[in-house]
Amino acid sequence: MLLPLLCIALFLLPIACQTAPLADLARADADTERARREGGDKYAPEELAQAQEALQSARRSVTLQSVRPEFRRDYHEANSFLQRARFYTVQARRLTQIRREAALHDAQDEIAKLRDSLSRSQEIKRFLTPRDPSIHRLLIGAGVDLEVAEKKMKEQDYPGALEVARTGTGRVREVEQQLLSSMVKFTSHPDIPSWSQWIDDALRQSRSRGEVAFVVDKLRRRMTVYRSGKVVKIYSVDLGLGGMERKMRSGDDATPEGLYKIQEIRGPGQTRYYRAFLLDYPNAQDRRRFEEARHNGLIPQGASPGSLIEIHGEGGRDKDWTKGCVALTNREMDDLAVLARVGTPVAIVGYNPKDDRVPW
Amino acid sequence: MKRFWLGLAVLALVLATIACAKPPQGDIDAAKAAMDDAQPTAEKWASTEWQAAQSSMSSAQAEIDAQNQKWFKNYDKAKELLAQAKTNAEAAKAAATTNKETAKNEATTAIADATAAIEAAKTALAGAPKGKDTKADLALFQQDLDGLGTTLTEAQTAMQSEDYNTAKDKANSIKEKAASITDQIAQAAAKKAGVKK
Repeated sequence: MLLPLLCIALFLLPIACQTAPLADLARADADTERARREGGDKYAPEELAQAQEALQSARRSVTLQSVRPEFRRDYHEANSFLQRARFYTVQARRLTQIRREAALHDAQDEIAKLRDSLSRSQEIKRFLTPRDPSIHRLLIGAGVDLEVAEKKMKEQDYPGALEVARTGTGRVREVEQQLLSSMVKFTSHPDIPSWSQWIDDALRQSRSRGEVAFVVDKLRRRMTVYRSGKVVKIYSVDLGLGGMERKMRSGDDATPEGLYKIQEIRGPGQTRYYRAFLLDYPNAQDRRRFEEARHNGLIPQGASPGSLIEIHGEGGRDKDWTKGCVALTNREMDDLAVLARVGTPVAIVGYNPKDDRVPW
Repeated sequence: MKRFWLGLAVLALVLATIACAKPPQGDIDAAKAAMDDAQPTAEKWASTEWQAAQSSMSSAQAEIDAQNQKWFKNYDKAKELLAQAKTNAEAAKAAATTNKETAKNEATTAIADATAAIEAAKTALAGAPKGKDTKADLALFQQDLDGLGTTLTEAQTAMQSEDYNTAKDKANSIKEKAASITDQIAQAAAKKAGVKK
C-alpha cells in the first residue's frame, strides 16, 4: 500500500519543485553589464539603476529560496524581478542609443554653429578696435572652446563637446550683442542732424560742379563716391585706431568727423602711403570744438587739434590701424586719383542715416 | 557489522557537512568592500579595469547562486572567483589612482607650457618694432594675449575641479595660439628689418 504512494510522491516531487532561474539571472546580469558598457550609466542612468536594483532583488529572492526545502521553493517573485530587470535593461539600452545619437547630433550642430559664428566674427572683428578688450577676450575664449569641443567629439564625449561648444556660441553671441547695441546707439546719436547736413552739403557741391564728393561712414567703415549727387562706387575703408571715437586732439588716433575739402593731392613717391589726399583738417568747426573741450578741461592744456588727416593708400587691412586717416587699397587709390581734385568735398560722419544697409 | 555502521556514520557526517556548507560570506563581504572602495575613482579613471572587476564579481555571484541551489554545495570555485573579483577591484583602484595622477600631471604640464608660451609671446611683443603700421597689430596681439590669459584661468579652474582633460585641452589650445602670436610678431619684425635694409 505504501509503495505505490511513495512512487507517486517521488514522481510528483520533481514536478512540484521549481528550477532556480540561474541562467536567466546570468543573462540579465550580462545584459545589464552590456547596457552599462554601451554608455547606459551616462545616457540612461535612472533606467540602468532600476535594472540593477531589480537584478539585485531577483538575486536576493533566489538566495532566500535556496535555503527552503526544494519542494517548497517558489521563484515567482525572482522571475518577476528578472522580468522587471529585463524591461529596464531594454529601456536603458534603447534610451542610451537614442540619447547618444541625439547628443552626437546636438554636439555636431552646436560645433557647426560655433564654427559659423566664429567665421562670421572675422567680419565682426573688422568693426573692433584694440580699445574693445572684453570683446577680444570673448572671441579668443570662443576659439579655444571650438578646439576643445572638437577634441571631445573625437573622444566621443558628446555631452562634454556640446557643453563646451554651447559656452563658445554663448561668447560669440555676447560679442554680437555688445557690438550691435553699441551700433544701435548711433541710430539716435545727437550729431545725426550735423552728419546729415554735411552729407547734404557735400552732395550739393558735387551736383553744382558736376564733380565727385566722398562720404565716409565711420560706423560701416565705408566710403561712398558720388558724382553729381549719385552713387558711383562704394569702398571699404580702414580708420584710425580709435575706431568710432571722434577726434579731439593730436595723438588720439581717432578719425575726425566734419565736412572737409581735399587740400593737396600727393602721388607715388610723395607719400609713405602710395597716394594721399590731404584734407583741410582742422577746419574752423574743429578748432572751435577743440577750444571748447580744452576750456572745459576735457583735454590737456598743451595739446593741439592735430593735422595731416588724409585719405591714403596701403589700406585694405580689414582693421583700424591709422593715426586718424582713412585708408584704402593702392588700386582703389589709383581709381580715386582719376576722380579727386583739390577742393573735392569729403564728408566724414559717424553714421550715415540715409544708408539702411547693415554693417555686416 | 560494527565497522559498517561506523563507515555509514562517517559518510553521513561528511555528506551533512557538504550539504550544509554556507556561502562564503566573509569572502563576499571582502570582495564587495573592495568593489565599493574602487568604484568612485575606477569608474571614471580606469573603466577597462573596472569592467573586468565587475565581470569577475558577476561570475562569482552566478557561481554562488548556482551552488545555493544544490543539495551538495561546494563554494570553492566561488571563493576563487570572489578572490579574483577582489584582486581585480584593487587593481582597478590602483590603475585609477595612476591614471588620474597621470592626467593631473599632463594637465599641470600643459598649463605650465601654456603659461610659458604666453610669457614668451609677451616678451616678443615688448621687443617688437613699433610704428604707425604696426601699432594696431601690436595692440591687437596684446588684446589676444590678455584673452588667452583669461582662458588660462578657466583651464586652471577646470584643473581645480579635477576636470583634467578639459584643463589639458584648453591649455594646449592656448599654447598653440600663443605660439602663433609669437611667430606672427617674429615675422612682422623680420619684415620690418627687411624693409630697413
